[in-house]
Amino acid sequence: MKVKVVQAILQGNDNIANQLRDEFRRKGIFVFNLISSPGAGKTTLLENFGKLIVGKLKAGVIVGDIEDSVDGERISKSGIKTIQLNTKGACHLDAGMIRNALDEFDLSQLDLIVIENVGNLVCPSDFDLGEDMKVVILSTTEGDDKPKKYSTTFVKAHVVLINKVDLLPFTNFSIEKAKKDILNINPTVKIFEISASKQETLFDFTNFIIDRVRWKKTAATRY
Amino acid sequence: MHEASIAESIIKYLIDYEKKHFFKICSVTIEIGKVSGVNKETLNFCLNEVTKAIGKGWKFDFIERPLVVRCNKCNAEYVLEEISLSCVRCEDSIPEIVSGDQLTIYELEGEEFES
Repeated sequence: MKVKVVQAILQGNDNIANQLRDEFRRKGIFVFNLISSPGAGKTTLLENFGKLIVGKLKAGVIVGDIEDSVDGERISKSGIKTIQLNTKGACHLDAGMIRNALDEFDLSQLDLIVIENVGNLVCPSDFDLGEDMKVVILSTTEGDDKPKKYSTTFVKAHVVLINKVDLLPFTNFSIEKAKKDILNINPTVKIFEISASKQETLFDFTNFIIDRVRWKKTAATRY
Repeated sequence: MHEASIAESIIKYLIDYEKKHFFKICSVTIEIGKVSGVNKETLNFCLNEVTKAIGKGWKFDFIERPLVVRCNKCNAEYVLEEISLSCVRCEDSIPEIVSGDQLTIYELEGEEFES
């Protein structure tokens, strides 16, 4: 006897992610999921982004690493409450881990949550965390061929930050080629060119996020 | 990606299904979409190894689903070999995925038994 079940296999994570998404929407909290290869600049970005938003936004950061707490410690020095998760081998964060981490925050006091995912350009984009936006960092030292090689991540990105532009003279990276390839894969993506270690290059991205946070807060007042 | 943990989820579902529905499963058909990110051979390997280890005789078959997208602007629906976010016909909008990203336990074959 045959039974048609059509049971989605990865429903567990998506169910939790959708609950998180609803909660963030009700509370007017904007969430972005920061994804990149190891060493592309996620933590440096958040250290300096954190300093730029102090006094403007109430933010919390959730950092995922396989082991160690050095990234969490670095970001918390910018003045933002930071929770460090250690996955003990898992190569990405999942919605269940985020739900547990949220217990450490007073969500009524937050405008923005940033999730720094585990350094990995493959798996994190497959796991919905309830975020509004996936922000992918591509650094000039990684090569301009990465968007084509990792299209499944770039196709899901809302923002791409091309980082370490100050190192362009020392690389073969072509900004034009990288942008063209990214926009071919995903014409909707917004691209910023930055050097995460230099705060002045982060103004445009920071203002973009502040606008998104304000929009989400306004939308929440309808509840 | 993560075929081992996907296999674990499938096996848990099958064990629960047998208990809940008094149904002895012989074979399982799994749908894998072209852009689901799952490798059929790796998943099959993981499923067979775990099935052997727990002493079940389940057989696994796979249906591969192509990537089908539909443009909400020009209503074109077509098959793509790889993801593109620009409609090939009108280039004016982002088509949505109709099929091709799924990963489902599609069908079970077996027999009911007395509790």
